[in-house]
Amino acid sequence: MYTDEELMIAHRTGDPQAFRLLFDRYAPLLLRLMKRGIHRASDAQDLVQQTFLQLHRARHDYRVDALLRPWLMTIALNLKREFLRRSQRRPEILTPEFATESAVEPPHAPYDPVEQRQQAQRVRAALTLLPDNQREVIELHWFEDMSFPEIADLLNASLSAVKVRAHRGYKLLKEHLADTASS
Amino acid sequence: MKEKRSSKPTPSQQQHTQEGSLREQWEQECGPVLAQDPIPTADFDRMFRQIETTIQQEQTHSPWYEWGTHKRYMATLSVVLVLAGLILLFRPRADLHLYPTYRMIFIVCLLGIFFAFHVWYLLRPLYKPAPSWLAQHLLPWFGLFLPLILALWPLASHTTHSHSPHTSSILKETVVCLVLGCVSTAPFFWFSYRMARHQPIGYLLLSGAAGGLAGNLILQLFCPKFGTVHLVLGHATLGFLLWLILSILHKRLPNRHSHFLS
Repeated sequence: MYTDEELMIAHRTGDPQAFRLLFDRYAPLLLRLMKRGIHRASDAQDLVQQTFLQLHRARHDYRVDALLRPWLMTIALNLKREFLRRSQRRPEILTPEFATESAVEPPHAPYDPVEQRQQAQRVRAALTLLPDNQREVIELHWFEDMSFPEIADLLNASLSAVKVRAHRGYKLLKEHLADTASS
Repeated sequence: MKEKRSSKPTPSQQQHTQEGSLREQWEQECGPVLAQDPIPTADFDRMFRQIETTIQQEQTHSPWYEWGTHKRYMATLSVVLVLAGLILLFRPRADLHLYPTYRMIFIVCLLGIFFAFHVWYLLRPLYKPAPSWLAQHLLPWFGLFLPLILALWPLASHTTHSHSPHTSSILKETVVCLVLGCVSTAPFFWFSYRMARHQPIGYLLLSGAAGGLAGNLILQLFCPKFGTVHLVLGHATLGFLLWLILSILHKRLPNRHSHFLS
């Protein structure tokens, strides 16, 4: 089992298999990241492909001592942000049909799946109402399981700023959810 | 004592616990479902084949944008710096010996520094975190207006200047300088286009501003006209003109973004 960094170094030196292995490892995760907020599956897939193309183009910049995951995540986030800004729109909410069609159910689906899906839908809808900088922090912390220092590095922000964004975002999220529940 | 010390969490453990508790709290409030956000399915084989095809196509025209970022940056900067050096050596402005040295150094350095900043933003790799909103929006506008600010800066010591600012028509002088500015910045645009791995948001404005700064740097070393009207019309408007030209040409040039599916 090669590490990401070993695969990237191998790709830089011209090993064609290494890039494929990296793609297999990260493409599904990046597609999940892209699909949060981008409704059209083709757009999300396009952005994943762009991410790997940019990774390939930047391979000579890669330093041996650098971690690959933050590199890849930063490329993906920058491309996603630019896509949303170019199309001048806020992230979109996945419709339940789209989410069901394009997703594999988790292996251990607890509780009532219908209720769970509806709840997820509500939270996703509330997430789209957050300001971009707060939503980004929450998504990375929550969905991508990244620590605050990792997120701070990724977003070029201080650790305290990231924590403040997370707490404000969480507070707003709760308010939005409460509004949805009451209405 | 030893036991007490070992039970005390380290700062990183404390941080981890805090983050964990925050995460747990969120999940309790909003439901565990989001922690199990499903992995989407797609035709990953087809997606990878398309990337491979694009990479193979790119290799046919020796992609300079695959060079290391420092190399790309230095190469793009050096196009303008070498041209400026050649002008200074072989065809400097006729009034160079009369022009105040401190002013010349100040203007050249200021234009050069901001040009370097613009090139850095143009060639900035995507694996670097995005610049702040303020930097993204202020830098290109400042780059566009900097030559105008410099043009309006009065030249106090030019009472002994041998070159009259009104030797020929203003319109002719303006056109000559604008054409010269456009021609002298063409190699920079060609280089920056070939070196860019992607076109960031505001690419045209940023490129126009960078070209305006480069052109003004070259004109500052070459053109002996010092009248405010000439400097405003013939030098300071160069960035705006280049922005306009790029906006017209942009749609005709192949885009570095490869759209795989659309």
